[in-house]
Amino acid sequence: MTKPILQIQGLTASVEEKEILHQVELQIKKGETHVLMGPNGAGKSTLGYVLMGNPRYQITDGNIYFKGSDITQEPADKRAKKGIFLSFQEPLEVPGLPLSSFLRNAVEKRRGNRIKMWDFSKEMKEAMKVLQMDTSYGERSLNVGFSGGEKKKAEILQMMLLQPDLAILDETDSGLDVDAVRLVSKGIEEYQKKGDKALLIITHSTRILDNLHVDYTHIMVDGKIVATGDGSLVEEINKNGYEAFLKEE
Amino acid sequence: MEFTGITFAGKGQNLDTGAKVVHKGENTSSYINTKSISKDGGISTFRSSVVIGKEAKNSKSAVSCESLMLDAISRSDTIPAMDIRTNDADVGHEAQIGRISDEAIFYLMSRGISEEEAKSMIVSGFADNVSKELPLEYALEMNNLIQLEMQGSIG
Repeated sequence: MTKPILQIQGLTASVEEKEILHQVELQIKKGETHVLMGPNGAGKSTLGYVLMGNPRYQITDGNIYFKGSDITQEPADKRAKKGIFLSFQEPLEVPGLPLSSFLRNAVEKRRGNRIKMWDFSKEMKEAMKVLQMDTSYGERSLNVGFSGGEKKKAEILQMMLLQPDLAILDETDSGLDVDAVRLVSKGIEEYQKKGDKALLIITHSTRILDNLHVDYTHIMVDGKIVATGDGSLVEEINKNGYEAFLKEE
Repeated sequence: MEFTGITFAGKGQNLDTGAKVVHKGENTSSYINTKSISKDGGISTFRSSVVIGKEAKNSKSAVSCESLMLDAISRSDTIPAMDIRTNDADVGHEAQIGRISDEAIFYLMSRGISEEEAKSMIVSGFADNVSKELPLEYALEMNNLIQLEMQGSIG
């Protein structure tokens, strides 16, 4: 049996004294793709933030283990270097910081060695091609003036180059048109193909999942995971909504 | 006439700077563009004074002040003064004061960049359109200075 890459035990977290997550349990193994669904305000995005280490959220109980080590108290940059990635629902803008130089810096940190400008630029352009992103975006300030779709593509671009071991995608498909969803999921597919990569996809719609293989689906309601099933659970939610799970509460 | 300036006020510093421009002739234009950064309780004050005499018809003036504060104890003030003696002038002033965003720091950290470096990247980016105006050697020097100022800013 393979050991889980991510193990969450009794995770309880709050923001501004308000408890959002209650005793969350979750296990993700290498090569698995998990989908996290649930009504608005259930705490899905909070879980993503807490796993990445956003200091705005306090972990009041429980532990997070990544690749066997306890990362509950580690800052976000250490977690990223170990291989966790979070695609933001609303990526932030940093004026004056060009996407390419920022990304090169981040990739060097992740790989632990310097990368020649030429090699990096080649690699970035290849990934941009998959996403059909204009290469001029590399020279633009990080996310500044990017459309909603370009911001999401830029997130997936970062994921493709950083090659994390666990990627958490928070509503990467929201606000995207059909073509953009297709391109973004192509980028995710490319990442998934690398074999032992794990994915946690937080989503509302199934469009992004059309081309992706899903191993497990979790339903989160009121800060708790109330049901877990295989890929077919996505279809069921699509048909019947969350009502059945809300009643169990 | 164009004036570009940048200040970085650290602990115990009160950087009180300013620029004054007097329009005396017709069809004259001026542009003042400043950025100020303050941290560890530093105070940045920027005073601008624009005088447009009655003979300076069809003149234009624009003042833009942007400040970035790195913590809650730092301060930033802009004190604009305008003395306009003709109706035939186009004068503008804009000021923007903001605190460094914790969410933006977290965003950069989530990509493996340390807190200190993330802050320094945001500050360098903020100063970017000023450093672009500088000759390369000075721009490099300024970036080094920012990096130096940012070191040990955590704790």
